[in-house]
Amino acid sequence: MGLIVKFCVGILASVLFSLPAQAADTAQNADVSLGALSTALKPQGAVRGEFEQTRTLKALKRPLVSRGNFVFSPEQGLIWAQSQPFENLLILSESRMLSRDSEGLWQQTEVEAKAGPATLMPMLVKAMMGGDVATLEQHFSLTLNVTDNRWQLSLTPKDSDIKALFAAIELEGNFVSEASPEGANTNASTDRLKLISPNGDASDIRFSKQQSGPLSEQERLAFSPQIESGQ
Amino acid sequence: MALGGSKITVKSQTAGRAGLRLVLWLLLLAAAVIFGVKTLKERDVVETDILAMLPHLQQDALTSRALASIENRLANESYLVLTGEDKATTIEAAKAMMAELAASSAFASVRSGSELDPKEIYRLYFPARFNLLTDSQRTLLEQGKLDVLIKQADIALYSAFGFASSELISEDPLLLFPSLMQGFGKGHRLAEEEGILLGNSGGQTAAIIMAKGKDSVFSPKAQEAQLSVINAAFDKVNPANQLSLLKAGALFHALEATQSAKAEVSLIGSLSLAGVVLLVLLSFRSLMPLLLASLTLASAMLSASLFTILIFGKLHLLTLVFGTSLIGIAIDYSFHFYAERIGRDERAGQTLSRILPALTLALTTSVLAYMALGFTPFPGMQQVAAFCGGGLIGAYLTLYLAYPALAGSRIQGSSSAIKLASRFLSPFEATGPKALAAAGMLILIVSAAGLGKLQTRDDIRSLQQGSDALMAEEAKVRTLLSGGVDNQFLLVRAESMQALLERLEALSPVLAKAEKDKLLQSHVSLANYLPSRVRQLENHNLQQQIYGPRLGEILARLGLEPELEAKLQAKYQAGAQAPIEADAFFATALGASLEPLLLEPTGTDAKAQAKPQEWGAVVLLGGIQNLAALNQVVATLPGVTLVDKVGDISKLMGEYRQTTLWLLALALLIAFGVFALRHPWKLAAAMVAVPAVAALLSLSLLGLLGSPLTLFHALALLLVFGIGIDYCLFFAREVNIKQDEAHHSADDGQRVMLAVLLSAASTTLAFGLLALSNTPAIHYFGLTLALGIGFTLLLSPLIHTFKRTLK
Repeated sequence: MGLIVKFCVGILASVLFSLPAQAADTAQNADVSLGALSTALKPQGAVRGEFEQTRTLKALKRPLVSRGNFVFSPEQGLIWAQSQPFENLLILSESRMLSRDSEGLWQQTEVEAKAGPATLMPMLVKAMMGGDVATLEQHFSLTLNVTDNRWQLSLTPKDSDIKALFAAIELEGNFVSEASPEGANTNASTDRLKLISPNGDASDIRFSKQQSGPLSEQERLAFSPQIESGQ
Repeated sequence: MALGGSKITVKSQTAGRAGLRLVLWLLLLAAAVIFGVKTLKERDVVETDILAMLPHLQQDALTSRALASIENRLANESYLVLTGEDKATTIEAAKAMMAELAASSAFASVRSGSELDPKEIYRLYFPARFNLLTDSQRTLLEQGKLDVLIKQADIALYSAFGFASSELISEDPLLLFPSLMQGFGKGHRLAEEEGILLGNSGGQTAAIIMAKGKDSVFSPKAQEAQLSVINAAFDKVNPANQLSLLKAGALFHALEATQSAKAEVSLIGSLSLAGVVLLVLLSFRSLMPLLLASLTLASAMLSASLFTILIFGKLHLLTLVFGTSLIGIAIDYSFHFYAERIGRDERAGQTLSRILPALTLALTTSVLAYMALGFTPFPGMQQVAAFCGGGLIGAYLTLYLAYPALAGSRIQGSSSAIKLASRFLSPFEATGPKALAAAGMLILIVSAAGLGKLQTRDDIRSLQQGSDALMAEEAKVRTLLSGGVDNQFLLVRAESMQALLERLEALSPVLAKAEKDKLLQSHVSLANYLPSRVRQLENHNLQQQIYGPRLGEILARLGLEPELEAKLQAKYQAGAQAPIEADAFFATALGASLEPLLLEPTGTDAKAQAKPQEWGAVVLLGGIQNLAALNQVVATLPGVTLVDKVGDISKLMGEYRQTTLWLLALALLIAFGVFALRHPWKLAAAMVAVPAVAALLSLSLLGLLGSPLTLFHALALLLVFGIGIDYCLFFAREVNIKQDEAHHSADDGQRVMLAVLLSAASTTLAFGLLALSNTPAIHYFGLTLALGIGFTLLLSPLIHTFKRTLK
């Protein structure tokens, strides 16, 4: 029998029939530079910063712009704390998706399945934010473009489950050279994430003021909130 | 001369009669062999299904149908799990394995993923969305909290990680439908890719395949066929040995049971035989008794098997295991015969006629004991009873018909065996009233201590259990399948389809709360997929709040185009005419997969106009943690019953255990009455007291050993009575002979003692070996019999003592 996301994905797929032709796998010598990017993107501990997201839905008259802070930890997941235009907190971990609106009302979606598409979104977010090229490569054809110290990674989905969700995903960022006692160390940061749906709906997210380092105690607590009144 | 002449005539006459008997016996044997060979050629008579041995329950028609439907769904199903590091490889291997299994003739169907078409489900539910709501959506609308729903939609719109898309919000602005789909998926917590059901096993990908065997997994032939196909298919898809295979299902339990039963039959059977051969050779120092004993055994086994097949049409493997102990009982007749012949130069017929009365009485009591077993409505025990009864009759007939012609050889006997017997007997001959009183006190103390500690256990699941390795493998598969489906289920009844759905809807929140309270993990109910008409109408009315006058405001708040308002309102109005109908639902693949849960009234019910129609629905339960509490929770709802076949059978087993013990008491009373006809009443009382005290001591010792009392213990005690009474009979007969034929030497007591010693040794050997069985039921049976026979052996010479004091 089916399964939550399979249903939803399938239903979306049937609503949105137009699938874009799959882009050819054009990565040239990609392995070398992809490997370098993957190494450079590996976060040291957690990453936190600010985001500005613009969602453009064809059915809506104006784009939906939201702002807020985020914390990403490869172990714990993602905290997406939207502050504008209204407060909303989203906590994405491997096992559940928690959200709290401005009235403090919690909503919880358990991702009970231990594999497969149910964990797709948390898994993708983790791979994209954490620069986990190996995981991304399992589901996407990757194309990397590097100009000066700017990099751009285009993802074209391989499996049908993801194709129903995204036509393409684009990641952009900078290489940052840091002088450290051991010598020159190249780091990379992601400052833009663009998700494009098969029907043309798009989400464009820009990250700023990013800082990496271990999780603070406060952040650690924020990942596992006390839910007083579950709905 | 004349004297000599007449002697010869008598001799030849007797020889002629003996020859006639032998011919009759040979004819019977030939008929039995022909019948046996014919039956074996025609069909498979060996059965291994433990369920076939369990008692039948009294149920109403709907419960039986529900059980049949569930059993049919789960029967002969094997779960195979391929695990591997690489997901793609594992999925490919699973696909190839499914193709291999499906191509073989051993399996009727092979499944993995749902094979459900999401588009089909969308086509079914999406047009009816105005009549559908999740529980929480309904609660919010009932409380007038429309704002919460709008807010949730707004949040979903802003989330880049959700499912909100332009198409969906134009049709369903508050995004109610995705939550509904989540609710549908609730019961199924496994993922699937490319039609293969997937789980995660310690970081590895686990692909789950379900294969339904064509023939019953309890047929040894089908077991072999299915297992070899599975193994061959796995070898084929796993050439590089990078995958591992986990297996679960009745097939593997049945296979293990068959193998262990086969091994036990051959081990216990051959050890028992070897022991008997040794006993005969040592005691009688001659090959002839051994040959005749073997002949007796062979004909006993043959008649036992045929008798069982004649009555039941089948011979259960467990019966054979129990039946191997028949060797120990059937051989007794030979022992008594030869013990009587030691050192005597007489015709076999003479020996036979001397022991025949006691032998006949022994056979009668044993067969009576077995018949008592046969009256339990417990197919397993009926078979054992028929098997042993048939075997004993076969042994008796062999003795009666074949021995006079064949067993005429002179037996010298082993003087050491006789000495052993007399040494065993001598303390009893010296026993005085003081020693008796002391023994009585000891028995009283042991009984009081042991009986107080005696506990009972009737759960049938503890009676047959797979090996640890098998259980561990099954537990792994169960975890992967997230608990799976339990044997217990709920049966909901109503007088119409709609009433049934409404009752199921009333049950849903109760089960949801029970899941929250950790009474169970999951349930599958039709109510989750097919709302009643009443419920759909309620849902439509509640959505008036969304699609009514406030729709324009809602669309504006979400930033949607205002022209959507008229379109959506028109669709909402039309939606009232498009509820989900049962027929359309069951026509989908999803509906078809759930159809076995619905029990429609049968044709005969429908004709009987006087009686209202009865509809039934099964609610599957998974991961039950607290059955008693769950039963209490659902018992308050009208038309809902918990069906727990395993529990009911266990309860029945408990009742039979008690009945059997009462039966034992009754049998003792009847035996006393029968014996009192032939013997002085005091002696009759002593003869009955021996098995009674032996039973009492066995129970006490079981209590001291901490072995819980089961039906099988009780049944074993009944047999102890049947066998033990034989010993007493032979000792009592010895006493009688003494009175009748004063010239007979005083070694009569020793002869009987030798025979009793030999038969007790062989019986204890056979039953003691049964206690080695891995199947708890057989183990309990063997242990109790060994104890009981041991005590009877120790106590029965007291009859000898008692008779002396009586004189």
